[in-house]
Amino acid sequence: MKMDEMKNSQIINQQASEWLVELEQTIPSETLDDPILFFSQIDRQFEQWVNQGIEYRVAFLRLYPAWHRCDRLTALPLVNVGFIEKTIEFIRVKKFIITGLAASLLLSIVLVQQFIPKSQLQIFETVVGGFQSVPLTDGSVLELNTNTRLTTEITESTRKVTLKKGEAYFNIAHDKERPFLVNVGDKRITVLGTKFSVKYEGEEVEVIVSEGRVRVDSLDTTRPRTTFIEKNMAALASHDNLLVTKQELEQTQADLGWRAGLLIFKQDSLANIVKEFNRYNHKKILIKNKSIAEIRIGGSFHAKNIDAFVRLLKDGLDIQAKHEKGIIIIF
Amino acid sequence: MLQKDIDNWFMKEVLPLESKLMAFLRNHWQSSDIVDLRQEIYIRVYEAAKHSLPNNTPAFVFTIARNLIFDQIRRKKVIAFDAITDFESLQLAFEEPSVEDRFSSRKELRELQAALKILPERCRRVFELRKIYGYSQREVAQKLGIAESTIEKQLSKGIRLIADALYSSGQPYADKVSKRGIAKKFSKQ
Repeated sequence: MKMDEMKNSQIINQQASEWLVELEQTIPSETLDDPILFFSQIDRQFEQWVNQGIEYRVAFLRLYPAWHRCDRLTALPLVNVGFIEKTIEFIRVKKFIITGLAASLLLSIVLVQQFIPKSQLQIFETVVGGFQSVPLTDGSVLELNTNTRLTTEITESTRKVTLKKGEAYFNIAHDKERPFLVNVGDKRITVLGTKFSVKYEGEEVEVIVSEGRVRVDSLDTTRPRTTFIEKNMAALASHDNLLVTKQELEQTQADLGWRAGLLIFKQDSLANIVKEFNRYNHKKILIKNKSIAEIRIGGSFHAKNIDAFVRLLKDGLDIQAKHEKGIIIIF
Repeated sequence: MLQKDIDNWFMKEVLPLESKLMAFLRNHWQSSDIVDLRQEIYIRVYEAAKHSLPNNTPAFVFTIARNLIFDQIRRKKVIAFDAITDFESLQLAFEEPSVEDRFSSRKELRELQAALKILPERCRRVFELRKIYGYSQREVAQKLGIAESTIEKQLSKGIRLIADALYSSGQPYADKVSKRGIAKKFSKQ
């Protein structure tokens, strides 16, 4: 290969970046197993471009993982983008004040907004140990777990759910014109058509995605922050902290076992398992003996059958139980 | 062996060597066309792997790189002493496994943060809105009040600069050889 033949690497690199940007725009961003084959099937021109020579293929392969590594940037706090949004708001409002007519229009718009009836708001609730499947008018389905309360508001332009407490699984119908929002605590989750669960307990919000991608915004204005969570990832957030972890599919299935009435544990401590059972049952299990609290147990259990669970503990681990009014003490 | 297997091997095992490769090329090739050289090396590496994937990828890549440099020297009929001296110790450095945990997420974040910092102001803004906040290109264009075609140009410039930064472990590699040469090429856009 002569030196002059090599000089086109800059051009090829530029073309590769242009292809990447264009292709990633039309297809949701997920790291693919065979990106070049995938994109070649979608775009014949890209197929022709990449087949011109190995240097084209290699240039694309080089940029592709870098683009997806950038997805991890979502863990950074970004204050300056909030500023851009505010600036644009300000400019829009200013335009309305220019003429008297425009000003009165603005006034009337504000007044009308205050009188919009809230009748589209619906409340759904489950008792302890309860479960409810709620189909929505847009084709989405919500599943409420034990002791959960949420409100829904579906209009022509918006789809919004507020999770007041508990845990719900969302199977959201794709609708580009109406993003689906979930408000939980001081967080807001924006969905683009996907499957995920949200749990709100105490001060903690936990999001697990089983398909697709969600965007979690922290609405705490002192430190606004946004994170994207995708398939096989889980996020646990309290006010200021956000922990995002990768999950094996098995773990996600275990976490979502409640949808089938099951609690699935993979070597979890007895203390955690008992805490989980207690969410689903009025009769609570109490661990009297601290030494057994850390025993690791795995398995699937029917969430509401604590008697069977306690019997298993006796047969398998020789843990004794004393039944009293409203509680079972184990030791 | 499917082509995607070579692609995946290339992305997973060859690309991480780029910073060492570029350092090696910088030391032995005093010229501004290092990127062209890298491209040629990648082509040869890819072609050679088509028969079977190598067991020792660093040694494989290094051998190809060294042979290419020898070819260039022969063609130019100039004996570049710098190019020939001390190959052995450099080969060892090249093949040395990386001590750092490449996949530590904190390190990854720091590298990405550093990569973002090198982007020019507007390019970085566009990149943030598109990649971090997940806005579509049209939405980014609306928010910033600029044409969608400009957004595309900024994004493609951004990904090129970020890729370069990431592959050289957070340092743009155009800092030793012909700073003016390569830097000028990038700023032309």
